[in-house]
Amino acid sequence: MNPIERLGLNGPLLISQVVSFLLLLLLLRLFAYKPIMKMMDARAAKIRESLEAGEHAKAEAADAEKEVAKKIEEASASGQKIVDQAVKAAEDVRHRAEQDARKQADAMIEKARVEIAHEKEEAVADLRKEVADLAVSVAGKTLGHSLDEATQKQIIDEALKEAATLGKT
Amino acid sequence: MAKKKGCLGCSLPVVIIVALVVLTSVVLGILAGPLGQKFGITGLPHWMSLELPEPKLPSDAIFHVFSVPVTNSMLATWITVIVLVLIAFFITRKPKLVPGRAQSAAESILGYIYNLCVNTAGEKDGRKFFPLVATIFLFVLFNALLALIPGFGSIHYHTHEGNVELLRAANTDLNTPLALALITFFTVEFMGFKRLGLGYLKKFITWGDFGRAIGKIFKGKFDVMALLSGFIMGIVGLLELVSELIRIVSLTFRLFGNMLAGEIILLVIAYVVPYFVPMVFYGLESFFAVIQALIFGILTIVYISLSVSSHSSEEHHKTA
Repeated sequence: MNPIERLGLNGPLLISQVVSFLLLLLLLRLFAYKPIMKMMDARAAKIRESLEAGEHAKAEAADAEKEVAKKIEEASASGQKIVDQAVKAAEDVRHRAEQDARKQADAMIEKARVEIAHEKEEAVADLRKEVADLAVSVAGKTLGHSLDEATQKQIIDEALKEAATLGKT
Repeated sequence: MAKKKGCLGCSLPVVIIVALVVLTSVVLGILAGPLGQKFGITGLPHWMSLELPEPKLPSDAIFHVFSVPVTNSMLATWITVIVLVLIAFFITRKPKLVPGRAQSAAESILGYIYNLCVNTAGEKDGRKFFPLVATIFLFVLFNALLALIPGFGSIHYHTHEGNVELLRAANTDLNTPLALALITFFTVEFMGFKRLGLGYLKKFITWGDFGRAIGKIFKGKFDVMALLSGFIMGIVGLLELVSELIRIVSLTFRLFGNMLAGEIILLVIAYVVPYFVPMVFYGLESFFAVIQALIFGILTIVYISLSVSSHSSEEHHKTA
């Protein structure tokens, strides 16, 4: 046994170990590193993609939120407008109703007044007639039954005419 | 030890029984070992104690193929290769984007090595040399861990040279570390030449300043300082060359020494106290296996990254 072999060094064995290692390198490259690295790269890509998608979705959500806020503001403004319009319309309606009511009331009052005046006139006319009749009858009584029917009538008519003109002045 | 701290999820009686068994085995081990024999306690049966191991450097041939010896360490290497390839094959048979347990474990180990490579040698080179570094790591680690499996070194085989162990940890055979160191060395030198061309040799042949200083002497200017610094630069290049060669030796014997020492420690401890106590050293040895495998891998990628970066960029890197 030479000195170097006593240390355990041995050419064929060394070559065998080198070959074993290289074989292992080759096989592991084939079976382990390539698929696993590929998978890890794919996962990294996927994660990056998802993160980007998340970022995108976040931005979109923010946009949507802004949009919604804008819409709400718009809706609220238009609602306010509608309410204002409604209030105004109601005001109008009330006003008109009031006016109508007043007008009607006025008309009724006017009508009542006219009627009253008319009735008063009628009453005055009746009264006049009565008074004339009474006067003629009193006069007839005092004068005796000298007045005939035709004259009596004529006198009454004249008196009535006079009374009508009298009442007017 | 853990048995004295709390219950570790066991009920108190179980803990007490375990502690008693451990204590008994330690005491029995001490009595049955050389200490007990020294003090004349010989009542214990002979099979309870072990013989003092006789470590030897060369591995033993199990059989010969065309007069080429096939040694026990070669068998162990082949087992390592087969086990690693089988594990890799079954884990990556159906790689999934959402990994299972085995795939996660493999990915976390390889991912760790990959990050190491990328951080040391940069994105491109790290990716390129990752397979080599990872294979060195796995090869050294599994060679060492395989040897810790009970029964690994205790199966004996009859040859015409006598009784030899059927398997021997491959790292404890000088040829295996040397093979790895040579592969690292040649990869480093090859990559250096491939990247930098003949400029790679500038690192070792640094006599330019010295030559210029000598040239000046002929022109009549005798500059002692230039001559001296040129000479020192030349020596530095020589040292660089020597250190490059020394790497083979240091890589080889770091791994070889650690692994053989670990093996011997286990045998000696098993001789001194046969029961329980060797378990502690088994844990220690599995830790050392990881450390040595990692060191070999890290040194490989560091050497490669040093050789592929040109001298000026290397200095730039150091100042940065």
